[in-house]
Amino acid sequence: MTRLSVQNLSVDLGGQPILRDVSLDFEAGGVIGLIGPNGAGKSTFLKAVLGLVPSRGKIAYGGKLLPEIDRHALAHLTSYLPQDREIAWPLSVENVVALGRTPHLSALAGLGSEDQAEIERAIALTDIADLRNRTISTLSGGERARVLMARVLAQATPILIADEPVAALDPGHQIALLETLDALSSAGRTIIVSLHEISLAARWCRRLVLLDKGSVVADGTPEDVLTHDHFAKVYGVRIHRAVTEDGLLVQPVARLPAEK
Amino acid sequence: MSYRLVIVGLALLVVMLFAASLFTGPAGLDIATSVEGLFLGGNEAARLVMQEIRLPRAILGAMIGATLGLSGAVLQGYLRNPLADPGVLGVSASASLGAVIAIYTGLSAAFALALPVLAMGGAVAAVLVIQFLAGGRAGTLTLILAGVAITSLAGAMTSLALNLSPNPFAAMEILFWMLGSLTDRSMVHVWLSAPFMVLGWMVLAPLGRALDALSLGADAAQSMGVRLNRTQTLTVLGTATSVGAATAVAGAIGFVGLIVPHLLRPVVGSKPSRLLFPSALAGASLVLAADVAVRLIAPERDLKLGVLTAIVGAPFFLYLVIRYRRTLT
Repeated sequence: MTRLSVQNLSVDLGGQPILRDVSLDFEAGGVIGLIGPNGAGKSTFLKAVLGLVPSRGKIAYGGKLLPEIDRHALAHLTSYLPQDREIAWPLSVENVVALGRTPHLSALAGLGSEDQAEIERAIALTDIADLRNRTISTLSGGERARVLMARVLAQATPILIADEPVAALDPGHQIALLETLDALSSAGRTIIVSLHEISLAARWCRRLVLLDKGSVVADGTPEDVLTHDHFAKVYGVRIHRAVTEDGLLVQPVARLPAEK
Repeated sequence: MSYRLVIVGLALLVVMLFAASLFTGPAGLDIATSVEGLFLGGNEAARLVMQEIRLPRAILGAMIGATLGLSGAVLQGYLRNPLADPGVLGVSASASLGAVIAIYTGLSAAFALALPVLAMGGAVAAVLVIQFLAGGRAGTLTLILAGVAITSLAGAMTSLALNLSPNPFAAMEILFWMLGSLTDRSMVHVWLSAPFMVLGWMVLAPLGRALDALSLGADAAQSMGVRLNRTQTLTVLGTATSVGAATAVAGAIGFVGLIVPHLLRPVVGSKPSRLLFPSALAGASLVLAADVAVRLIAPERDLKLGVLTAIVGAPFFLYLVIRYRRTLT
């Protein structure tokens, strides 16, 4: 198990402070959800952890500091689903998923049997078997999102970071994907996702980190984080919150009058 | 269509067009005399025509075409832009400027090799400026803008040379050189440019896997282990070395590097790595075919290769745009 440890992480982009002194530790044991309003710094945090934006502070994977881990080694530790769902060329679905094996291939060799097995597993987990020969440009937004998630799963890394993996998915596929991620985390993988779907976060994440204006406001179980106070302060909304036989249900219901 | 079949088919096409290029020319040699002149050198005139005139022309045609096809495919993949061509970095324009300076100053008249040497110097200068502007922090937009700036500056300097040219003949010589041609190139040109083109290919060819990963964007590619700075540096160096050398001996030959990857993309399933080798072969075929065509269409008028590729290439590109506009969003 690879522990991801972030200490005093700060990021400035274009002269604007985006993250301020964020310290968090991540390990396996349930999907970890990163929540917060637009502009809270969720995506920037995920990018900084991967070394994709310049940052200050310490980021360590299994005790080893990030600058000392080269890109190739890092690609064996973490996989990443960017929020930007760019696909430049009309590739086949199967080709896109196979890209996830990039860090595992030697310079000249093609896909081996282990690579094929991981690709098949990822295709099965994301329910895209019937799309496999389609061209990516002919798919719907949600189908495309599932294909890109399959690419990330095919990379088969101990840590998986996904920026809004359930956005654009239908409820069935949202739950299916979160179930998959939950199972992977139970199997020893560290799963960090950002998401806006509060009800899904409440139901499927075992730990939530609430970010606002670049700082951690709350970090704990959904019961501790998804409180009336936090929603009033961070989102400016009133929530309906109920503990039912299906677990914690949280639904934002109304905007609160702006504080003076 | 299987990838192997595409490769074999294109390789056969290159061989056939290479042969066609060897057997085409104003000397009117029959095939037996041509073959004898090429390999045995029995008939002195035939030997001269084959070994000193047609062979270097065919070799350069194939190598320059391969350079343009390969670098076009790499640049389109790296920039994730189907409009990129080998000239996008400003290397062709600055190599041309080097050649223009050689003609303008009279150096090329005094010393024939001054032209390709100065042209390669121009390509080197372009690379230095690009690496200065875009190096370190990798950004495809910076790279494109740097290329536009270099192209404009080189174009402006070329215009200045034309403007100030001492006599109309010098201006004509500059203009004709810039049209792009393989006429009257010798083995010396081959020896001068071939090592650089091969070196450029060796730098560009292994980039396929990084280009594949870049299909999903720079962040995703990096998370899959691609070192962006290294990929960019190799792309710039490989293009500059090979395209600089190609432009130095033949002038700017347009549209080949732009069109060839487009043509092949649907055939190989759009994967950038699968596009590289076929693009090199198809580029070689296209330039060899065009160079045969200029000798057949107007044998007495010295129709320039670059003019023909542009005349055929531009409408063809338009056709491609119309055909693929539904898939281009």
